[in-house]
Amino acid sequence: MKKKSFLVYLLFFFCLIFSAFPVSNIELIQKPICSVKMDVESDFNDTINDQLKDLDFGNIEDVIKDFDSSSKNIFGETSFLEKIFEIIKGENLNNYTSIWDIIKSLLFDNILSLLPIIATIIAISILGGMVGNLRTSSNGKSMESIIHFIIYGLTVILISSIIFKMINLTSSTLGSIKKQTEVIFPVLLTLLTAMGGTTSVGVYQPVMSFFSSTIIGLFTSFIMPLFLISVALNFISNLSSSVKLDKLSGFINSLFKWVIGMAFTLFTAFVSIQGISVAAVDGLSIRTAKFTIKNTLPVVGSYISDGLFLIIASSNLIKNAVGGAGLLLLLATIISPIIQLVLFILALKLMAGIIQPLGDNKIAEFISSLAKDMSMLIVMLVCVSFMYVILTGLVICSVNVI
Amino acid sequence: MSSISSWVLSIAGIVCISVIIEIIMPEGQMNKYIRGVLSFIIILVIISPLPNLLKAKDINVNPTINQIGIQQEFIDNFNIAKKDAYESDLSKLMENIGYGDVSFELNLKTDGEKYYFDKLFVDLSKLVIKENAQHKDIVEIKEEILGEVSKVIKDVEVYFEE
Repeated sequence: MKKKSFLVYLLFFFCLIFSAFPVSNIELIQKPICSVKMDVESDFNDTINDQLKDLDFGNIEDVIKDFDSSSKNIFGETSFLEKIFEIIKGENLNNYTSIWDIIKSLLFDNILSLLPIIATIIAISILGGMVGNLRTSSNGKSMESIIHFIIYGLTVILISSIIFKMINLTSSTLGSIKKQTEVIFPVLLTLLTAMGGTTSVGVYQPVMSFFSSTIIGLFTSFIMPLFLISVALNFISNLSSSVKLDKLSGFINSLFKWVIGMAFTLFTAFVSIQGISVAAVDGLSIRTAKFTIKNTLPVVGSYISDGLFLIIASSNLIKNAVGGAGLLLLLATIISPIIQLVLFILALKLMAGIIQPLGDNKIAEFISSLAKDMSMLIVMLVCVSFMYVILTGLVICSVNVI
Repeated sequence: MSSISSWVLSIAGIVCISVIIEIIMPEGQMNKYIRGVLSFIIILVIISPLPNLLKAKDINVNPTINQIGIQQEFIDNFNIAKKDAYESDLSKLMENIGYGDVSFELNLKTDGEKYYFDKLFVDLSKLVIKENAQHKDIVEIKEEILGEVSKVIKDVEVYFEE
Protein backbone atom coordinates (compact mmCIF):
# COMPACT_ATOMS: atom_id res chain seq x y z
CA MET A 1 0.00 0.00 0.00
CA LYS A 2 2.77 2.41 0.89
CA LYS A 3 4.63 1.61 -2.37
CA LYS A 4 1.47 2.22 -4.43
CA SER A 5 0.71 5.60 -2.87
CA PHE A 6 4.37 6.62 -3.25
CA LEU A 7 4.22 5.75 -6.95
CA VAL A 8 0.99 7.71 -7.34
CA TYR A 9 2.52 10.73 -5.69
CA LEU A 10 5.59 10.43 -7.95
CA LEU A 11 3.42 10.20 -11.05
CA PHE A 12 1.38 13.19 -9.96
CA PHE A 13 4.53 15.17 -9.31
CA PHE A 14 5.94 14.38 -12.74
CA CYS A 15 2.66 15.31 -14.45
CA LEU A 16 2.68 18.64 -12.69
CA ILE A 17 6.20 19.43 -13.85
CA PHE A 18 5.59 18.40 -17.47
CA SER A 19 2.32 20.32 -17.71
CA ALA A 20 3.86 23.52 -16.43
CA PHE A 21 6.69 23.76 -19.00
CA PRO A 22 4.91 23.89 -22.41
CA VAL A 23 2.60 26.72 -21.40
CA SER A 24 5.35 29.06 -20.29
CA ASN A 25 7.44 28.24 -23.37
CA ILE A 26 4.63 29.11 -25.79
CA GLU A 27 4.03 32.41 -24.09
CA LEU A 28 7.73 33.25 -24.29
CA ILE A 29 7.89 32.53 -28.02
CA GLN A 30 4.71 34.28 -29.14
CA LYS A 31 5.03 37.62 -27.40
CA PRO A 32 8.28 38.93 -28.90
CA ILE A 33 7.29 38.33 -32.56
CA CYS A 34 3.98 40.23 -32.27
CA SER A 35 5.51 43.22 -30.54
CA VAL A 36 8.48 43.24 -32.91
CA LYS A 37 6.16 43.33 -35.95
CA MET A 38 4.35 46.38 -34.64
CA ASP A 39 7.67 48.02 -33.84
CA VAL A 40 8.81 47.44 -37.43
CA GLU A 41 5.72 49.14 -38.85
CA SER A 42 6.13 52.20 -36.68
CA ASP A 43 9.87 52.23 -37.47
CA PHE A 44 8.98 52.18 -41.14
CA ASN A 45 6.66 55.16 -40.76
CA ASP A 46 9.26 57.09 -38.78
CA THR A 47 11.97 56.39 -41.33
CA ILE A 48 9.71 57.45 -44.19
CA ASN A 49 8.79 60.68 -42.40
CA ASP A 50 12.42 61.53 -41.66
CA GLN A 51 13.48 60.92 -45.23
CA LEU A 52 10.61 62.94 -46.68
CA LYS A 53 11.59 65.89 -44.49
CA ASP A 54 15.06 65.94 -46.01
CA LEU A 55 13.81 66.05 -49.60
CA ASP A 56 13.33 69.43 -51.22
CA PHE A 57 10.17 69.62 -53.31
CA GLY A 58 10.73 73.17 -54.48
CA ASN A 59 7.78 75.03 -55.88
CA ILE A 60 5.60 72.11 -56.90
CA GLU A 61 2.83 73.62 -54.77
CA ASP A 62 2.80 76.69 -57.04
CA VAL A 63 2.15 74.41 -60.01
CA ILE A 64 -0.84 72.92 -58.19
CA LYS A 65 -2.08 76.38 -57.21
CA ASP A 66 -2.05 77.47 -60.85
CA PHE A 67 -4.38 74.66 -61.84
CA ASP A 68 -7.93 75.42 -62.79
CA SER A 69 -10.69 73.78 -60.76
CA SER A 70 -11.13 70.65 -62.90
CA SER A 71 -7.42 69.80 -62.80
CA LYS A 72 -7.36 70.35 -59.04
CA ASN A 73 -10.27 67.92 -58.71
CA ILE A 74 -8.48 65.30 -60.74
CA PHE A 75 -5.33 65.54 -58.62
CA GLY A 76 -7.35 65.63 -55.43
CA GLU A 77 -7.70 68.45 -52.93
CA THR A 78 -4.36 67.59 -51.35
CA SER A 79 -0.86 68.93 -51.44
CA PHE A 80 1.88 66.98 -53.18
CA LEU A 81 3.35 65.60 -49.93
CA GLU A 82 -0.04 64.36 -48.75
CA LYS A 83 -0.50 62.66 -52.10
CA ILE A 84 2.80 60.84 -51.63
CA PHE A 85 1.66 59.61 -48.20
CA GLU A 86 -1.63 58.42 -49.68
CA ILE A 87 0.15 56.44 -52.35
CA ILE A 88 2.57 54.86 -49.85
CA LYS A 89 -0.32 53.74 -47.65
CA GLY A 90 -2.27 52.54 -50.68
CA GLU A 91 -5.31 54.77 -50.17
CA ASN A 92 -5.31 56.12 -53.70
CA LEU A 93 -7.33 53.53 -55.51
CA ASN A 94 -10.87 54.88 -55.37
CA ASN A 95 -10.54 57.83 -57.73
CA TYR A 96 -11.72 56.48 -61.07
CA THR A 97 -15.43 57.32 -60.95
CA SER A 98 -14.69 60.87 -59.86
CA ILE A 99 -12.25 61.33 -62.77
CA TRP A 100 -14.94 60.22 -65.19
CA ASP A 101 -17.41 62.72 -63.69
CA ILE A 102 -14.87 65.51 -64.00
CA ILE A 103 -14.22 64.67 -67.66
CA LYS A 104 -17.95 64.71 -68.37
CA SER A 105 -18.36 68.12 -66.76
CA LEU A 106 -15.32 69.45 -68.69
CA LEU A 107 -16.85 68.25 -71.96
CA PHE A 108 -20.20 69.90 -71.33
CA ASP A 109 -18.72 73.19 -70.15
CA ASN A 110 -16.49 73.53 -73.20
CA ILE A 111 -19.20 72.55 -75.66
CA LEU A 112 -21.46 75.21 -74.18
CA SER A 113 -18.75 77.85 -74.42
CA LEU A 114 -18.00 77.03 -78.07
CA LEU A 115 -21.64 77.07 -79.23
CA PRO A 116 -22.04 80.88 -79.61
CA ILE A 117 -18.97 81.15 -81.89
CA ILE A 118 -20.08 78.20 -83.98
CA ALA A 119 -23.55 79.65 -84.45
CA THR A 120 -22.22 83.12 -85.32
CA ILE A 121 -19.79 81.89 -87.96
CA ILE A 122 -22.36 79.59 -89.56
CA ALA A 123 -24.88 82.42 -89.68
CA ILE A 124 -22.40 84.84 -91.26
CA SER A 125 -21.30 82.33 -93.89
CA ILE A 126 -24.84 81.39 -94.86
CA LEU A 127 -25.76 85.08 -95.12
CA GLY A 128 -22.74 85.69 -97.33
CA GLY A 129 -23.64 82.75 -99.49
CA MET A 130 -27.18 83.99 -99.98
CA VAL A 131 -26.07 87.54 -100.75
CA GLY A 132 -23.52 86.17 -103.21
CA ASN A 133 -26.29 84.45 -105.09
CA LEU A 134 -27.89 87.82 -105.75
CA ARG A 135 -25.11 88.88 -108.12
CA THR A 136 -25.98 90.29 -111.53
CA SER A 137 -24.18 89.25 -114.68
CA SER A 138 -22.40 92.58 -115.27
CA ASN A 139 -20.37 92.94 -112.09
CA GLY A 140 -20.69 89.31 -110.91
CA LYS A 141 -17.12 88.35 -110.38
CA SER A 142 -15.89 91.36 -108.47
CA MET A 143 -19.05 91.42 -106.35
CA GLU A 144 -18.41 87.82 -105.43
CA SER A 145 -14.82 88.58 -104.51
CA ILE A 146 -15.75 91.54 -102.36
CA ILE A 147 -18.41 89.57 -100.49
CA HIS A 148 -16.02 86.69 -100.03
CA PHE A 149 -13.37 89.11 -98.74
CA ILE A 150 -15.72 90.61 -96.16
CA ILE A 151 -17.13 87.29 -94.94
CA TYR A 152 -13.65 85.86 -94.76
CA GLY A 153 -12.40 88.82 -92.73
CA LEU A 154 -15.22 88.48 -90.22
CA THR A 155 -14.68 84.72 -89.87
CA VAL A 156 -10.96 85.21 -89.35
CA ILE A 157 -11.55 87.78 -86.61
CA LEU A 158 -13.99 85.53 -84.78
CA ILE A 159 -11.88 82.39 -84.99
CA SER A 160 -8.60 84.15 -84.14
CA SER A 161 -9.71 84.86 -80.58
CA ILE A 162 -10.23 81.16 -79.89
CA ILE A 163 -7.01 80.20 -81.68
CA PHE A 164 -5.00 82.59 -79.53
CA LYS A 165 -6.62 81.13 -76.45
CA MET A 166 -5.67 77.61 -77.55
CA ILE A 167 -2.09 78.65 -78.32
CA ASN A 168 -1.71 80.27 -74.89
CA LEU A 169 -3.19 77.16 -73.29
CA THR A 170 -0.65 74.90 -75.01
CA SER A 171 2.28 77.18 -74.16
CA SER A 172 1.31 77.38 -70.51
CA THR A 173 0.82 73.59 -70.34
CA LEU A 174 4.29 73.01 -71.77
CA GLY A 175 5.70 75.50 -69.27
CA SER A 176 3.91 73.72 -66.42
CA ILE A 177 5.31 70.35 -67.54
CA LYS A 178 8.80 71.85 -67.58
CA LYS A 179 8.36 73.16 -64.02
CA GLN A 180 7.20 69.72 -62.90
CA THR A 181 10.24 68.03 -64.42
CA GLU A 182 12.51 70.52 -62.66
CA VAL A 183 11.10 69.48 -59.28
CA ILE A 184 10.42 65.77 -59.66
CA PHE A 185 13.50 64.63 -61.58
CA PRO A 186 16.05 65.86 -58.99
CA VAL A 187 14.10 64.10 -56.23
CA LEU A 188 14.00 60.83 -58.17
CA LEU A 189 17.70 61.04 -59.00
CA THR A 190 18.56 61.79 -55.35
CA LEU A 191 16.61 58.74 -54.16
CA LEU A 192 18.23 56.53 -56.79
CA THR A 193 21.70 57.73 -55.74
CA ALA A 194 20.95 57.18 -52.06
CA MET A 195 19.76 53.65 -52.71
CA GLY A 196 23.02 52.91 -54.49
CA GLY A 197 21.77 52.74 -58.06
CA THR A 198 24.81 54.42 -59.53
CA THR A 199 24.56 52.79 -62.96
CA SER A 200 20.97 53.94 -63.31
CA VAL A 201 21.83 57.47 -62.23
CA GLY A 202 24.63 57.54 -64.80
CA VAL A 203 22.08 56.74 -67.49
CA TYR A 204 19.13 58.77 -66.28
CA GLN A 205 20.80 62.02 -65.27
CA PRO A 206 21.93 63.10 -68.77
CA VAL A 207 18.69 61.86 -70.31
CA MET A 208 16.59 63.81 -67.83
CA SER A 209 18.63 66.98 -68.31
CA PHE A 210 18.33 66.55 -72.07
CA PHE A 211 14.57 66.09 -71.84
CA SER A 212 13.99 68.95 -69.45
CA SER A 213 15.98 71.59 -71.30
CA THR A 214 16.58 70.55 -74.91
CA ILE A 215 13.44 68.68 -75.86
CA ILE A 216 10.99 71.01 -74.17
CA GLY A 217 13.03 73.95 -75.48
CA LEU A 218 12.78 72.48 -78.99
CA PHE A 219 9.03 72.26 -78.64
CA THR A 220 8.54 75.79 -77.35
CA SER A 221 11.01 77.68 -79.51
CA PHE A 222 11.06 75.75 -82.79
CA ILE A 223 7.92 73.69 -83.18
CA MET A 224 5.47 76.23 -81.79
CA PRO A 225 6.67 78.92 -84.25
CA LEU A 226 6.34 76.33 -87.05
CA PHE A 227 2.74 75.88 -86.04
CA LEU A 228 2.17 79.64 -85.98
CA ILE A 229 3.69 80.03 -89.46
CA SER A 230 1.48 77.22 -90.72
CA VAL A 231 -1.67 78.88 -89.36
CA ALA A 232 -0.68 82.28 -90.77
CA LEU A 233 0.00 80.77 -94.21
CA ASN A 234 -3.34 79.04 -94.02
CA PHE A 235 -5.07 82.37 -93.38
CA ILE A 236 -3.24 83.99 -96.29
CA SER A 237 -3.67 81.27 -98.86
CA ASN A 238 -7.44 81.11 -98.48
CA LEU A 239 -7.85 84.84 -98.99
CA SER A 240 -8.43 84.54 -102.70
CA SER A 241 -8.74 81.74 -105.18
CA SER A 242 -6.03 83.05 -107.45
CA VAL A 243 -3.22 83.27 -104.93
CA LYS A 244 -2.72 79.88 -103.32
CA LEU A 245 0.01 79.02 -100.85
CA ASP A 246 -1.10 75.44 -100.11
CA LYS A 247 2.16 73.80 -101.02
CA LEU A 248 4.17 76.16 -98.83
CA SER A 249 1.84 75.35 -95.97
CA GLY A 250 2.33 71.66 -96.78
CA PHE A 251 6.11 72.13 -96.59
CA ILE A 252 5.84 73.62 -93.10
CA ASN A 253 3.49 70.78 -92.08
CA SER A 254 5.85 68.03 -93.18
CA LEU A 255 8.80 69.81 -91.54
CA PHE A 256 6.77 69.78 -88.34
CA LYS A 257 5.91 66.10 -88.66
CA TRP A 258 9.46 65.02 -89.44
CA VAL A 259 11.08 66.99 -86.62
CA ILE A 260 8.61 65.75 -84.03
CA GLY A 261 8.71 62.19 -85.36
CA MET A 262 12.48 61.95 -85.30
CA ALA A 263 12.88 63.61 -81.89
CA PHE A 264 10.21 61.39 -80.37
CA THR A 265 11.39 58.13 -81.91
CA LEU A 266 15.07 58.64 -81.16
CA PHE A 267 14.46 59.80 -77.59
CA THR A 268 12.03 57.01 -76.75
CA ALA A 269 14.16 54.27 -78.32
CA PHE A 270 17.33 55.45 -76.59
CA VAL A 271 15.70 55.84 -73.17
CA SER A 272 13.84 52.53 -73.35
CA ILE A 273 16.81 50.44 -74.42
CA GLN A 274 19.23 51.97 -71.93
CA GLY A 275 16.71 52.13 -69.14
CA ILE A 276 15.50 48.57 -69.47
CA SER A 277 18.99 47.11 -69.62
CA VAL A 278 20.15 49.12 -66.61
CA ALA A 279 16.97 48.76 -64.56
CA ALA A 280 17.64 45.25 -63.38
CA VAL A 281 21.38 45.59 -62.72
CA ASP A 282 21.30 47.90 -59.73
CA GLY A 283 18.33 46.17 -58.13
CA LEU A 284 20.23 42.88 -58.37
CA SER A 285 23.38 44.24 -56.75
CA ILE A 286 21.44 45.73 -53.84
CA ARG A 287 19.50 42.51 -53.34
CA THR A 288 22.76 40.56 -53.33
CA ALA A 289 24.17 42.77 -50.59
CA LYS A 290 21.00 42.34 -48.54
CA PHE A 291 21.14 38.54 -49.01
CA THR A 292 24.70 38.48 -47.71
CA ILE A 293 23.82 40.41 -44.57
CA LYS A 294 20.74 38.30 -43.90
CA ASN A 295 22.56 35.01 -44.25
CA THR A 296 25.12 35.86 -41.61
CA LEU A 297 22.43 36.47 -38.99
CA PRO A 298 21.29 33.17 -37.51
CA VAL A 299 17.83 34.24 -36.41
CA VAL A 300 14.43 32.71 -36.81
CA GLY A 301 12.18 35.23 -38.51
CA SER A 302 13.72 38.14 -40.28
CA TYR A 303 12.38 41.07 -38.28
CA ILE A 304 15.40 41.47 -36.11
CA SER A 305 18.58 43.06 -37.53
CA ASP A 306 16.90 44.58 -40.58
CA GLY A 307 17.72 48.18 -39.73
CA LEU A 308 19.72 48.73 -42.90
CA PHE A 309 17.09 47.11 -45.08
CA LEU A 310 14.43 49.34 -43.47
CA ILE A 311 16.24 52.47 -44.60
CA ILE A 312 16.72 51.30 -48.17
CA ALA A 313 13.16 49.98 -48.38
CA SER A 314 11.65 53.27 -47.24
CA SER A 315 13.72 55.13 -49.84
CA ASN A 316 12.39 52.67 -52.40
CA LEU A 317 8.79 53.30 -51.34
CA ILE A 318 9.27 57.05 -51.46
CA LYS A 319 10.83 56.84 -54.93
CA ASN A 320 7.91 54.86 -56.30
CA ALA A 321 5.38 57.11 -54.58
CA VAL A 322 7.01 60.30 -55.90
CA GLY A 323 7.00 58.83 -59.40
CA GLY A 324 3.35 57.88 -59.08
CA ALA A 325 2.34 61.28 -57.72
CA GLY A 326 4.27 62.97 -60.54
CA LEU A 327 2.39 60.94 -63.15
CA LEU A 328 -0.92 61.82 -61.50
CA LEU A 329 0.06 65.51 -61.58
CA LEU A 330 0.88 65.21 -65.28
CA LEU A 331 -2.51 63.62 -65.96
CA ALA A 332 -4.25 66.46 -64.13
CA THR A 333 -2.20 68.98 -66.16
CA ILE A 334 -2.96 67.71 -69.64
CA ILE A 335 -6.53 66.37 -69.48
CA SER A 336 -8.19 69.79 -69.59
CA PRO A 337 -6.17 71.29 -72.51
CA ILE A 338 -6.50 68.14 -74.60
CA ILE A 339 -10.27 68.01 -74.14
CA GLN A 340 -10.58 71.70 -75.06
CA LEU A 341 -8.42 71.25 -78.18
CA VAL A 342 -10.30 68.15 -79.31
CA LEU A 343 -13.65 69.86 -78.89
CA PHE A 344 -12.42 72.89 -80.84
CA ILE A 345 -11.21 70.74 -83.73
CA LEU A 346 -14.50 68.83 -83.83
CA ALA A 347 -16.41 72.12 -83.76
CA LEU A 348 -14.37 73.43 -86.70
CA LYS A 349 -15.05 70.30 -88.72
CA LEU A 350 -18.75 70.52 -87.90
CA MET A 351 -18.81 74.14 -89.04
CA ALA A 352 -17.10 73.25 -92.30
CA GLY A 353 -19.59 70.45 -92.83
CA ILE A 354 -22.57 72.73 -92.30
CA ILE A 355 -21.23 75.69 -94.31
CA GLN A 356 -20.21 73.70 -97.39
CA PRO A 357 -23.66 72.97 -98.84
CA LEU A 358 -25.31 76.18 -97.68
CA GLY A 359 -22.70 78.92 -97.93
CA ASP A 360 -19.38 79.71 -99.53
CA ASN A 361 -17.28 76.68 -100.46
CA LYS A 362 -14.03 78.54 -99.93
CA ILE A 363 -14.87 79.40 -96.33
CA ALA A 364 -15.62 75.73 -95.68
CA GLU A 365 -12.25 74.73 -97.14
CA PHE A 366 -10.51 77.35 -95.00
CA ILE A 367 -12.14 76.12 -91.81
CA SER A 368 -11.42 72.44 -92.49
CA SER A 369 -7.73 73.10 -93.25
CA LEU A 370 -7.57 75.13 -90.04
CA ALA A 371 -8.89 72.07 -88.17
CA LYS A 372 -6.05 70.00 -89.65
CA ASP A 373 -3.55 72.54 -88.37
CA MET A 374 -4.94 72.66 -84.84
CA SER A 375 -4.29 68.94 -84.44
CA MET A 376 -0.59 69.87 -84.38
CA LEU A 377 -1.09 71.32 -80.91
CA ILE A 378 -2.53 68.06 -79.62
CA VAL A 379 0.38 66.16 -81.15
CA MET A 380 2.82 68.44 -79.33
CA LEU A 381 1.19 67.94 -75.94
CA VAL A 382 0.78 64.19 -76.34
CA CYS A 383 4.41 63.71 -77.47
CA VAL A 384 5.89 65.61 -74.53
CA SER A 385 3.63 63.86 -72.02
CA PHE A 386 4.42 60.44 -73.46
CA MET A 387 8.16 60.99 -73.22
CA TYR A 388 7.77 62.18 -69.63
CA VAL A 389 5.63 59.13 -68.76
CA ILE A 390 8.17 56.72 -70.24
CA LEU A 391 11.05 58.33 -68.36
CA THR A 392 9.23 58.37 -65.02
CA GLY A 393 7.90 54.84 -65.51
CA LEU A 394 11.41 53.51 -66.14
CA VAL A 395 12.71 55.19 -62.99
CA ILE A 396 9.85 53.69 -60.95
CA CYS A 397 10.60 50.20 -62.29
CA SER A 398 14.35 50.35 -61.80
CA VAL A 399 16.44 49.72 -58.68
CA ASN A 400 13.63 48.01 -56.80
CA VAL A 401 14.64 46.17 -53.67
CA ILE A 402 11.21 45.24 -52.35
CA MET B 1 11.60 85.23 -83.81
CA SER B 2 10.90 88.80 -84.90
CA SER B 3 12.48 88.11 -88.29
CA ILE B 4 10.12 85.16 -88.78
CA SER B 5 7.09 87.26 -87.87
CA SER B 6 8.16 90.07 -90.22
CA TRP B 7 8.56 87.49 -93.02
CA VAL B 8 5.08 86.13 -92.50
CA LEU B 9 3.63 89.64 -92.25
CA SER B 10 5.26 90.69 -95.52
CA ILE B 11 3.78 87.64 -97.25
CA ALA B 12 0.37 88.51 -95.84
CA GLY B 13 0.73 92.11 -96.94
CA ILE B 14 1.71 91.32 -100.51
CA VAL B 15 -1.12 88.77 -100.85
CA CYS B 16 -3.67 91.30 -99.56
CA ILE B 17 -2.42 93.90 -102.03
CA SER B 18 -2.62 91.47 -104.92
CA VAL B 19 -6.16 90.43 -103.96
CA ILE B 20 -7.29 94.06 -103.81
CA ILE B 21 -5.64 94.81 -107.13
CA GLU B 22 -7.39 91.84 -108.71
CA ILE B 23 -10.73 93.04 -107.38
CA ILE B 24 -10.43 96.60 -108.68
CA MET B 25 -8.76 95.61 -111.94
CA PRO B 26 -11.05 96.07 -114.96
CA GLU B 27 -11.50 93.28 -117.49
CA GLY B 28 -8.97 93.50 -120.28
CA GLN B 29 -5.96 92.07 -121.97
CA MET B 30 -3.49 93.36 -119.38
CA ASN B 31 -5.13 91.10 -116.79
CA LYS B 32 -2.95 88.07 -117.24
CA TYR B 33 0.25 90.09 -117.34
CA ILE B 34 -0.65 91.88 -114.11
CA ARG B 35 -1.47 88.55 -112.51
CA GLY B 36 1.87 87.12 -113.61
CA VAL B 37 3.81 90.08 -112.20
CA LEU B 38 1.95 89.90 -108.90
CA SER B 39 2.65 86.17 -108.46
CA PHE B 40 6.32 86.82 -109.29
CA ILE B 41 6.46 89.47 -106.56
CA ILE B 42 4.84 87.03 -104.10
CA ILE B 43 7.47 84.38 -104.88
CA LEU B 44 10.22 86.95 -104.34
CA VAL B 45 8.83 87.85 -100.93
CA ILE B 46 8.55 84.18 -99.93
CA ILE B 47 12.18 83.34 -100.71
CA SER B 48 13.61 86.65 -99.49
CA PRO B 49 15.05 85.36 -96.15
CA LEU B 50 16.99 82.53 -97.84
CA PRO B 51 20.15 84.52 -98.78
CA ASN B 52 20.45 85.79 -95.21
CA LEU B 53 20.16 82.22 -93.89
CA LEU B 54 22.86 80.98 -96.24
CA LYS B 55 25.25 83.83 -95.37
CA ALA B 56 24.89 83.61 -91.61
CA LYS B 57 26.63 80.28 -91.09
CA ASP B 58 27.75 81.13 -87.58
CA ILE B 59 24.31 80.75 -86.08
CA ASN B 60 24.72 79.59 -82.51
CA VAL B 61 22.44 76.59 -82.24
CA ASN B 62 23.98 75.05 -79.13
CA PRO B 63 21.28 74.88 -76.52
CA THR B 64 22.31 75.26 -72.91
CA ILE B 65 21.47 72.14 -70.97
CA ASN B 66 20.63 72.65 -67.30
CA GLN B 67 22.10 69.75 -65.38
CA ILE B 68 19.64 68.16 -63.03
CA GLY B 69 21.21 68.28 -59.61
CA ILE B 70 21.15 65.76 -56.80
CA GLN B 71 20.11 66.98 -53.38
CA GLN B 72 23.22 66.48 -51.34
CA GLU B 73 21.58 67.09 -47.93
CA PHE B 74 19.33 64.07 -48.33
CA ILE B 75 22.23 61.85 -49.32
CA ASP B 76 24.31 63.01 -46.35
CA ASN B 77 21.51 62.26 -43.89
CA PHE B 78 20.75 58.97 -45.62
CA ASN B 79 24.32 57.77 -45.28
CA ILE B 80 24.43 58.83 -41.63
CA ALA B 81 21.26 56.80 -41.00
CA LYS B 82 22.85 53.88 -42.86
CA LYS B 83 25.90 54.10 -40.64
CA ASP B 84 23.72 54.01 -37.49
CA ALA B 85 21.80 51.04 -38.86
CA TYR B 86 25.00 49.12 -39.56
CA GLU B 87 26.26 49.80 -36.04
CA SER B 88 23.07 48.58 -34.40
CA ASP B 89 22.87 45.56 -36.73
CA LEU B 90 26.41 44.55 -35.84
CA SER B 91 25.68 44.87 -32.11
CA LYS B 92 22.64 42.62 -32.50
CA LEU B 93 24.73 40.17 -34.49
CA MET B 94 27.22 39.98 -31.64
CA GLU B 95 24.42 39.37 -29.15
CA ASN B 96 23.16 36.46 -31.20
CA ILE B 97 26.63 34.94 -31.28
CA GLY B 98 26.83 35.28 -27.51
CA TYR B 99 28.70 38.48 -26.78
CA GLY B 100 26.55 41.19 -25.22
CA ASP B 101 27.09 44.95 -25.00
CA VAL B 102 29.63 45.19 -27.78
CA SER B 103 29.33 48.64 -29.32
CA PHE B 104 30.57 49.52 -32.78
CA GLU B 105 31.47 52.84 -34.32
CA LEU B 106 31.97 53.29 -38.03
CA ASN B 107 33.94 56.10 -39.60
CA LEU B 108 32.07 57.48 -42.62
CA LYS B 109 34.14 59.06 -45.36
CA THR B 110 33.31 60.57 -48.70
CA ASP B 111 35.38 61.40 -51.73
CA GLY B 112 32.78 63.79 -53.07
CA GLU B 113 30.75 61.19 -54.92
CA LYS B 114 30.88 57.96 -53.00
CA TYR B 115 30.39 57.25 -49.35
CA TYR B 116 32.37 54.47 -47.73
CA PHE B 117 33.47 53.24 -44.34
CA ASP B 118 37.17 53.14 -43.71
CA LYS B 119 37.51 52.41 -39.99
CA LEU B 120 35.54 50.38 -37.51
CA PHE B 121 36.07 50.83 -33.76
CA VAL B 122 34.93 47.91 -31.64
CA ASP B 123 34.41 48.73 -27.96
CA LEU B 124 34.93 45.59 -25.88
CA SER B 125 35.17 47.30 -22.51
CA LYS B 126 31.66 46.32 -21.46
CA LEU B 127 31.83 42.86 -23.02
CA VAL B 128 29.56 40.33 -21.37
CA ILE B 129 29.92 36.74 -22.41
CA LYS B 130 26.56 35.05 -22.35
CA GLU B 131 25.97 31.59 -21.11
CA ASN B 132 25.46 29.86 -24.42
CA ALA B 133 28.90 30.89 -25.72
CA GLN B 134 31.97 28.86 -24.92
CA HIS B 135 34.46 30.48 -22.65
CA LYS B 136 37.27 31.79 -24.80
CA ASP B 137 40.15 34.10 -24.21
CA ILE B 138 40.20 37.60 -25.58
CA VAL B 139 42.30 36.83 -28.68
CA GLU B 140 39.92 34.12 -29.89
CA ILE B 141 36.97 36.43 -29.21
CA LYS B 142 38.56 39.16 -31.32
CA GLU B 143 39.23 36.72 -34.17
CA GLU B 144 35.65 35.52 -34.10
CA ILE B 145 34.30 39.09 -34.13
CA LEU B 146 36.65 39.95 -37.01
CA GLY B 147 35.38 36.96 -38.99
CA GLU B 148 31.73 37.83 -38.49
CA VAL B 149 32.24 41.54 -39.27
CA SER B 150 34.08 40.81 -42.49
CA LYS B 151 31.06 38.89 -43.77
CA VAL B 152 28.94 42.03 -43.41
CA ILE B 153 31.26 44.93 -44.20
CA LYS B 154 34.31 44.59 -46.40
CA ASP B 155 37.42 46.76 -46.69
CA VAL B 156 37.41 48.29 -43.23
CA GLU B 157 40.24 48.57 -40.74
CA VAL B 158 39.10 47.18 -37.41
CA TYR B 159 40.42 48.65 -34.15
CA PHE B 160 39.61 47.03 -30.83
CA GLU B 161 39.23 49.07 -27.68
CA GLU B 162 39.24 47.43 -24.29
